[in-house]
Amino acid sequence: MISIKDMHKIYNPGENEVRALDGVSLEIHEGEFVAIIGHSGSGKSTLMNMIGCLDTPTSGSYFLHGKDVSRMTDNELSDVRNQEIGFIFQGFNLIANLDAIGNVELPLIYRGIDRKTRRAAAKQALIKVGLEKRMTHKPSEMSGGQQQRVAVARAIAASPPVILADEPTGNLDSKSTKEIMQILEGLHKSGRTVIIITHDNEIAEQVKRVIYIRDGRIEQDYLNEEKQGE
Amino acid sequence: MAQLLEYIKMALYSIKSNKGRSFLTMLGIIIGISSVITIVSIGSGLKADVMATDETKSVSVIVNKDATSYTNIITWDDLKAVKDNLGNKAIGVVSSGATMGTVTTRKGEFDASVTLTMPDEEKNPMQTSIIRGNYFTEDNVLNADSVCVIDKASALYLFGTPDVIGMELEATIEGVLQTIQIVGVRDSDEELMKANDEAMKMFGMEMPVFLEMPYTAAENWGSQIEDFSSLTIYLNGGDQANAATKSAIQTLSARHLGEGEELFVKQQEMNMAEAMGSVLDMVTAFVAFVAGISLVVGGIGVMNIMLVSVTERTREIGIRKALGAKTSSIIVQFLCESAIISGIGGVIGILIGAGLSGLISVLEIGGLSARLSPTAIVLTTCFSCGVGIVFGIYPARKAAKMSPIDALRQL
Repeated sequence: MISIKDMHKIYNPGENEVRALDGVSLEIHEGEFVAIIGHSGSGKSTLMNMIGCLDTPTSGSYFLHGKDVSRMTDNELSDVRNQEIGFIFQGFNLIANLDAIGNVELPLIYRGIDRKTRRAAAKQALIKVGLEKRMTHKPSEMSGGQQQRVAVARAIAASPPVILADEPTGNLDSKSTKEIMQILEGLHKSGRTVIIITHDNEIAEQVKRVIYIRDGRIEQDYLNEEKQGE
Repeated sequence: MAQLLEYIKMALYSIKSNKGRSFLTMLGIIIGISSVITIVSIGSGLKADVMATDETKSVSVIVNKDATSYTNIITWDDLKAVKDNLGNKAIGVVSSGATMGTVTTRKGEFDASVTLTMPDEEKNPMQTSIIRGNYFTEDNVLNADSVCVIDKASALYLFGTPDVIGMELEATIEGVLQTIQIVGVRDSDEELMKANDEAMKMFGMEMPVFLEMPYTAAENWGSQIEDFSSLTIYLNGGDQANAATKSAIQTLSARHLGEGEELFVKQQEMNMAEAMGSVLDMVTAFVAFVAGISLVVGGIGVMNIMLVSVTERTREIGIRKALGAKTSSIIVQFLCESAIISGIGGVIGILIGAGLSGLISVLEIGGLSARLSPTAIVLTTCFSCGVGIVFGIYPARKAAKMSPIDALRQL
């Protein structure tokens, strides 16, 4: 479902050019549970922006569900993000003056879903992450783990086929990390494609497939042995 | 379009969560709108006052100088016919002229302003009433009697008393000395007299004695006045002006058939009320324009705050874009916000303006009266929303054009 071929992303073309992605080719199939790991500056964030349709590559192609995303306009990309991808960010990225349910509703608003259906879907998503009692709380009234669970609920509310998590546990304590990983695992089991971008090897170990990025290239792409057996 | 409702809700929510700042933003608009409303209300109040004090009380028909070489063709009988045909549209029809002379008493010699007119002049609604004696009669006119009506101020001036009926004046008019008997005294408009007096003193002149005499009295000093070039109709109510003019011209035309086309026309006179009204309109428009500038300043305030808001909410914009908000969604959201801020500001401004107008009317500050103008309300409402939209476009576009990664990267 995700098919990237010879993708390059070059910042500041010319003298001081930075080759954030330098010929990346990658296939991720539906229902996979993938970790993209690498040190900071390795290009993993750029790759995540590309997969998440937040940015367009300098060259190369990217097919998502058979559609060529790399040549789309900004507005078309907005639609793709809205329908295909659920984002989870390291910094939670909740809107501060909206309560939990308001935040979860956002992608549904941009999809143009009516209020009633939207509310119901948002509630369902919050129940799935175990926050049914915190629906009307503002982000500032919740712990980091709870905020990230709201973010997960927001990512799944519109039922996108791909969940893209950028350092989802980077700001969390070990207990919350465990909770979030369990939820992501659950999403994977329910058939969604889950991609985690991380620099944390412990996280990578809990995932089936690991893609190791270094200097803008894929250095390793392997399956975790212990997970393979399951 | 159902989306629009969502954006309006988002905007309202955001305004609500920043109450203090939103209010400060509105302040410029509030001040602008309320001053425009107040000024326009005072302007239209003043205009209404002026119009009310001076409705049309008389119209004049003149002989068209372009149609004939000899213009004195309106006869005494013409006047009577015109008056008969006017019926209750008019209270009087006169033709009058004026001349200057001198009056000699024991006190000395005084200038005199002599109006040669007809008995109907008594009914002139712009004039004061007769307080002693009677106006001269039609008989006086037919006999060319040397009688006059004098105004109260002149009587006091000449004789020290308003009780001057039956007294005689020695007057020289057009070089002919004659004795004129006083038959009536007309009241004087005190304020007008005072103003005249001051003006006269300032220019070192004395006030003339005002006399009204039968138009035929001119024969006594050798002038021949038989026919007239104009007539004036004293109206029975201002709304009769056009009908009366039409009737008079028809009557006159019928009586002067064969003497030419369009022999009689309405006299184009500058109506004081209209003139004052249009001057007031201009002044009001000018002051409202100046007040309108504060609206523009208010609009720039809205733009300023919206720009700050965009910078502050970069991350929010990034999140929204990542979640699928299109460029247009972000633009509409921010435009709604600025339009709502200035719209609410506009409504508050209108309320304050209406309140101020009412207060001015009730307290009669400076003798002003204000009349709330619906046009001004509609216009300022549109204008304030327009200000929000126009000045919101730049910040909204700035917000919408942000790339989601750049926006998300900011902390």
